[in-house]
Amino acid sequence: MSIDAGRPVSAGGLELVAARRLIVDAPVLRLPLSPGDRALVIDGDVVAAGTTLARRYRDVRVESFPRPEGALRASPSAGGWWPGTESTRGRARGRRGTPPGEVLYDVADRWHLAVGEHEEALDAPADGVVEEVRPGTGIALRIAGAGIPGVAAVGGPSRGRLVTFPADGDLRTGALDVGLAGAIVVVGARVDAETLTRCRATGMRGVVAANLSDKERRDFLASEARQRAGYHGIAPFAVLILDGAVRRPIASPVRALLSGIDGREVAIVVDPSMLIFDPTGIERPETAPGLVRIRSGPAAGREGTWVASLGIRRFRAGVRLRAGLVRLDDGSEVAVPLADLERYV
Amino acid sequence: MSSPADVRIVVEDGTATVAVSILSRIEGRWRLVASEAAPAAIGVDPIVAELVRAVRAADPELARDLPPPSQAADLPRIVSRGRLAPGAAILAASERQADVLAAAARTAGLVVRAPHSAPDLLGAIRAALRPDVAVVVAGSGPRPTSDERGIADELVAALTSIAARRTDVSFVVAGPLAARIAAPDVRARTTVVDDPAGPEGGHALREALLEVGLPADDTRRGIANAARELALLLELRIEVVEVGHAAGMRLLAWQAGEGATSTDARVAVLAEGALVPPDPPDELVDAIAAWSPAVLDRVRLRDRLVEAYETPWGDLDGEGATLTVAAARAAVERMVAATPDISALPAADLLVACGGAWADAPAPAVALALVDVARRPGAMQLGFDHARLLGPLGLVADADERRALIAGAIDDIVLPLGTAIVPRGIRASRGTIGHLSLSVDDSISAYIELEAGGVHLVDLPPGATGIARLAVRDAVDLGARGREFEIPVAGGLGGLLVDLRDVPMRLPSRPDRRREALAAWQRPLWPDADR
Repeated sequence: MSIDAGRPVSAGGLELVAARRLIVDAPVLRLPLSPGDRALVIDGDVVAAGTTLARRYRDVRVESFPRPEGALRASPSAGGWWPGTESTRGRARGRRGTPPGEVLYDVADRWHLAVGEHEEALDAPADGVVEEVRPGTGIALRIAGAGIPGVAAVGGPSRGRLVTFPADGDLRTGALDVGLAGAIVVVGARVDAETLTRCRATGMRGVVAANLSDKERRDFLASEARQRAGYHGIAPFAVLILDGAVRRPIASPVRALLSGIDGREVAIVVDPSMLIFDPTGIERPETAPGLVRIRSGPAAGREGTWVASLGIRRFRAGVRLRAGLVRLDDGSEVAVPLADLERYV
Repeated sequence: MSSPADVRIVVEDGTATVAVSILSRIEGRWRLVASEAAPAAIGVDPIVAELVRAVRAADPELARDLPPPSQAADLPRIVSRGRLAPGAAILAASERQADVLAAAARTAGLVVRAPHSAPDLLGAIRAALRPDVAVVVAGSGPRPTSDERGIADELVAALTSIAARRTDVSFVVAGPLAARIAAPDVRARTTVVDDPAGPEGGHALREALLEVGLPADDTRRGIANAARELALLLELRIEVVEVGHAAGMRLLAWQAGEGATSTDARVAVLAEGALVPPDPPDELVDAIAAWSPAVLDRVRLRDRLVEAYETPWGDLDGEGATLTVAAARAAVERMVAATPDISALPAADLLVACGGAWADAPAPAVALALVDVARRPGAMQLGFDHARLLGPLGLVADADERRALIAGAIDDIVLPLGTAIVPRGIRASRGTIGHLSLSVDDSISAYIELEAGGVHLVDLPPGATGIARLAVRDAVDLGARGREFEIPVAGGLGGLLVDLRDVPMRLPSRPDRRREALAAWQRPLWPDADR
C-alpha cells in the first residue's frame, strides 16, 4: 500500500473502521438487587412494561434472632426470603415476632437476616422475559424489543414517550414546560446539570443527549443523591449519553432512528446503557454506503463518505497512524486516522 | 519462510485495542515480519488479512508461502487476552486486617469493593454478591484478639453463605481463619495464605491473589513469564512497566538459583495503573495535568480523559498524543508509589515499556517518559515492547518453543530505546557541572558539557555500543558515589539520555514554569509537535 502524489492506491479498507451497532435486538438488561431486596418474579416469567419485578429497600440492616421453633425450624438457604412471624402473647410464654427479610447466614442457631426499610418498586422498563433472578445480586430481563446503545446512562431505569427536539443544539431551560411531563426528550448535542434538574422538576422521565460533560454528570449525580436521601421516594429519571463527554452532534443514523420512534413509549436503562423501544412497524433507517463518522479529534462529530485507505500517514506531533480518505459533507476530502472513525452497522 | 508451519499470528487481544503480529521462522530463527494495532471492535481477522496483504505487497519473496489474505485467518495463532480488572470483596476480623488484605488485593489487579470488617458483614456480603466480584479475600491476624475470635464463626458463616450464592467466585483466606472452614465445597475453592502481615506475607498474599485472579490466558500472566525468559536469556535484571486500558503492571525479574539457571520475579498488577481509570478523581486529573506541557483546565481535561477511557484508540495525534503520554507517565508514577517493595529491590539493568498506552508515541518520547517517572540513580537500558509480543509469547505452553520464539525474535520484541544515565545528588548550580564523552569503536563520538537540571540527548543509534565517561565537579550517586565514571552504554531510537534533573526530580512548583520545563525537555522528542 502506498501513496502516489497524495492519492490512495487502495480503495478498500473500510473493514478496518470500527463498526458500531445502531440497533441491538432483544437485549438482556441487568437490574441490580442488594441483600434485603425482595424479587417478586422467578426465572421464565413473562412480564409487561411497568410490572413490579422487585421491592428494593434504601435502608437495610442485619437482624439476628434465634432459629424459630416447631414447623418453622427448616432453615431457608442463603438468599432465601423469610416472611417473618407475628409476635404472640400467651399466658405461659409469649414469643417475639421476627421481621421479614433475606437470609444471610446462620450461626450457632441464630439466623442473620438483611431487613430493609423505605421500600421502592423496581418496575420492568419494557415487556420481556425474566432470564435469571439472583437474590442480592440482580435480575436479568430479556427485552421483547430493541435498543439503541449509548456509552453511559445515569439514574434510571425510566420509561416515557419519546419527544425529539428538532435542532441539534444545546437544550435551554426556556424550552422546557409541563407539557413534557412524562416524556423522555432527545435534546441534541449537550445538556447541563441545571437543565437536567429542571427536566426532572417538570415531571420528565429522562433525557437523551449526544454528550454530557463529566462535571455536569457529577453535579447531576450529586443532585440525585441528595433527593434520594430524602424520606419520600422520587420518580424515576434517567439520562442516556450516546457518545461521550466532548461536544459533537447526534450521529445522523441515530437521529433518523430517533425521529422514526418519536411519540412512542421508550425506556432508558443503565446496564447496558440503552434506549429501549418496540421496533414493530418501525423502518430501520438506511445508512448511506460508506458513511463514516469522525468519532474523536478536532473534527469530532463530522460525517462523510469513505473514499479509500491511505495506509500509514504522518499526523500532527509526528505520530504515524493508519489513515483513510474521507469526503466530508461540504465536498472537501480529508485524511483521518482510522482509529478516529466509526461506521454504523 | 518455508511453510505456514513456520508462521505464527501473535495476538494480544486487549480490552480496548488488539495488537496483531506475524512472526516467521527465517533461516532457522523467528523474526517479526509485520505488526499492527487497532481498536478491538474491528476484530482480529481483518487486521491479519491487512497485514498479510501488506507483506505480500512489500516483499513478495518473504510472503511466498503466506496464504492469500482471505485465508490468513487459518494460520496458527498465539493469543493472550486482556480483561477488565475484576472486583474483590474483603471480609476481615478487624479494620487493621481489612487494610492488609485490601492493600494486597489492590496490587494483584483487583478492584476492592468497599473493604469491610466485622461487624459490618452486610457490606461485605453486598460487595461479594456484585456480579463483577471474582475473588473474596478473608482473613484474621496470626494471633487473633478476643474480639477477632468472637467474630470468626460469623465470618466463616458469611463465607459459606457467599460460596453457596456465588459458585463462580474464588476465595483466598489468610491466617488461622482458614482452619475453621469446614464445608468441603468452600475448602475446594479456597487458597490459604499463612500470615499476610508477616515480613513477606503481603507478597505471598499478592502472589496467591494473582494466581487466583489472572486467568490462564491473561496477557499480564504472559508478560511475567516472558520477562523471566528475557532475564535468563539476556542475563540482566528486567523491569517491566505496562500501562493498559484496564490496568497496569510493574514487575522485576532476575536470574536466581544455583548457576543462575532459573529466575525469580516480583510482580504487581494494579487497576489504578490503567492509563485512565474509570471516573477519575480530581487528584488523578491533576496528576496528569502536571505532566502535560499543554494548558488544559480541569473540566476540559476531565472530559478528554473520560473520552480516553471510552475510546482510548482515538485522538492520538497532536495534543492528544502528548496528553496520552502524560497520562501514561502519571500511571507509572502511581504504580511506582503503590509498589515500594519492588522499588526496594536492586535496580534493573533494562527497563521495558509495555502496553497500548505507549503504542503511538515516538520512541524517544517513550524513553524520556520512562526516565521521568521510573527514576533510580544509575544507568539502565530502555526498551519498548512495541508490537505487544511479550504477553502472548509468554503464554506459549511448551517451554522450549516459548524460549525459541523469544530468543529468536528478541531483537524485534524489545525495541531498543537507548541508555539512560541518571545521577543522584546533583547540586543546583549555574554553568557546567562536568562533562561527558562518549567513545564508540575507540574514538570519541560525542563530548558534551553538562548543566544541572537538564536532559542531554546524545545520538547513539540502535545496535551501537560504547563507553560513556562522566566527570563531574561534585560527587554524585550512580549506584556508587564518585566524581568519575565509565559506563558501558547501548544505543537505541532515543540514543543516550543523560538526565541531570536529580532523583527525585526537581520540577518548578509554579504550573506555568513547570509546563515550560516539560515542553523544553519534550519538544526535541516530538517531531512536528507544534503543527
